[in-house]
Amino acid sequence: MTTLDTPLDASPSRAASRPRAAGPGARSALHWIAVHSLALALTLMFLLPLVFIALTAVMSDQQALTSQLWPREWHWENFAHVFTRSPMLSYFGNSLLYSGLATVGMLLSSVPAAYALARLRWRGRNLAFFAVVAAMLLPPQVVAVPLYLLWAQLGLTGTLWPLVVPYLLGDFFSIFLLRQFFLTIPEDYADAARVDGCSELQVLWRVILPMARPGIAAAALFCFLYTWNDYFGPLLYAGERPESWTLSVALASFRGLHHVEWNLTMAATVLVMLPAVVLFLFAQKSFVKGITFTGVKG
Amino acid sequence: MSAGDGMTTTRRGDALAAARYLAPAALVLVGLLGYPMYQLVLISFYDYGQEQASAGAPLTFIGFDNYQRLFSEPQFWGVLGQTVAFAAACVAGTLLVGGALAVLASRVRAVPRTLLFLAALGAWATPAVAGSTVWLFLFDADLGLVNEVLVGLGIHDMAGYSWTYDKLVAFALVAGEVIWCSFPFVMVTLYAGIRAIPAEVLEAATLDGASTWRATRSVVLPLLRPLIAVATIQSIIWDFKLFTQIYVMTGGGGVAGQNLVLNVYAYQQAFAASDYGLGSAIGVVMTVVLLVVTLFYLRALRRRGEELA
Repeated sequence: MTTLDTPLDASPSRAASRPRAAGPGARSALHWIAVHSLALALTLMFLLPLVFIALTAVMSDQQALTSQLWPREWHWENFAHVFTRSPMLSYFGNSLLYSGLATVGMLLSSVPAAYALARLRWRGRNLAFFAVVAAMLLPPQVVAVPLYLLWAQLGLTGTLWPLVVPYLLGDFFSIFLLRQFFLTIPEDYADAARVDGCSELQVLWRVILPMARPGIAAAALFCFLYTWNDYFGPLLYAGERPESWTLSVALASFRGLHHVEWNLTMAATVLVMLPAVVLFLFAQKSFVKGITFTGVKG
Repeated sequence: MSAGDGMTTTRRGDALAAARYLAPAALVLVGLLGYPMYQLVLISFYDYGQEQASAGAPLTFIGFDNYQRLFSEPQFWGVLGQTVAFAAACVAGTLLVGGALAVLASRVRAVPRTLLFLAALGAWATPAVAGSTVWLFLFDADLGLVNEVLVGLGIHDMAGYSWTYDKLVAFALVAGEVIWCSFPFVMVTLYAGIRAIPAEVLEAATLDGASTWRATRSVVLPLLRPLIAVATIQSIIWDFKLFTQIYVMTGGGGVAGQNLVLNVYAYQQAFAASDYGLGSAIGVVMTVVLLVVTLFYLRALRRRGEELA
């Protein structure tokens, strides 16, 4: 719990000046209660769907068709059924392959690119940065037709390669995010290392990377979650071949196949959500940092 | 873009290193974005179907026929209009909910705030397909919790009410899911901004006799404006390319395609109907629309004397 609070309270000294809204008197006490009950009510409202899925996931298929909230019996085997009733394990593997390869590839390709845009001094750097921003803003669906035809000509549709290859070469959002981070690292450290005789590669590897670790973590997290949640890409490129489906595509079709078995659909939903939510909660510190860096910068 | 300014000196060897570091990204930019963009425009002028794509049938140049066909299709104009309206509603809803919750979070104690953030981030981390499935379940006509509660409250007409049958209701339902999973971004951004406002500034306003509302409007909002600008442009870009929620929640575009947005429409035309020429024409139109929206927004920002990032 405290871990979440740290990044959000960027400046600890501000805690002292917290009770700015509170003054003496019953009016402010009422105000305090009103604000806190509202916060609590909204928290419950946001959590309710998630709790509801989890509870439905362990109901019997009969009970899931009623509108009862609490499971009469706890059918933990529903989670196992999801795996036996569909090749869930292979979908899991595909999702992991897509997200894992994309994230590792993104780091290898985009960290040097971002460094070149942030810290190397060369003509045309601003122009290159502008191109990165423009590319970042263009929705991927716009060029879906020519890209699909390109990958089809290469015989790679129906596989995960059209999804992974772009990340191996560089992801524009990640480049943008990482550049913003690199800019916050004082140049003196790099200069000192250069005076000591480090090459540019050594400067990047030994000085910049260790200091940019939170930024790199944020970029990796964004990339992993984005690809894990991606639906359009896998649907377009892997949709025609079920062996290549990722979890998101599988889940969408699972609902169609098992329409009356809401308990199984919800169990599958829990399994799809779990890695993303767990990763998120563990890494929310860098996540929040990533947002505030891309947003607040400048 | 601040770092580039005033740094005209170049360093020997840096250009070479930069070229090496950026070469892969340049390959993506040219090969997977620039060239496809050019092809997109090109294909939109051809009669390009399944035979041309896979069997190598000869291509026929048909000029603006694809566009003419598109523009004379009443459905297209309907889809275009509702894409803009739907995206605008999602952006407005996301900003309102996110902003309100950021203010709320800045006024409660640490523990409720942590809980609020956890709940919001939970919604955010939920994959779009999973979120859509959950919402469909909650709003299911016969089994859904929502109808159950409404009937329990005495609104008996809601028994068996389908939330995806009526066009506007279905759009509202999808918008609800979109706002649910995208307001946390706005909330976290604006909350960080609110925390960064020096307490003295607000105290000074209070000492001058400003009410909470007045202080918010005249002090907090102007200070937050750059952040709000970023959140808005991000939301616009995000909500214009919405695909998953519409596709999953309305089953590919709703009853008789009533809930189509441009993105899903393009996908249906190009890939479901294998009409790549028409699909490309829609892609070109989408690019133009997005360009116009972004430019309008940037101009509005500039007129107020603000810059992005």
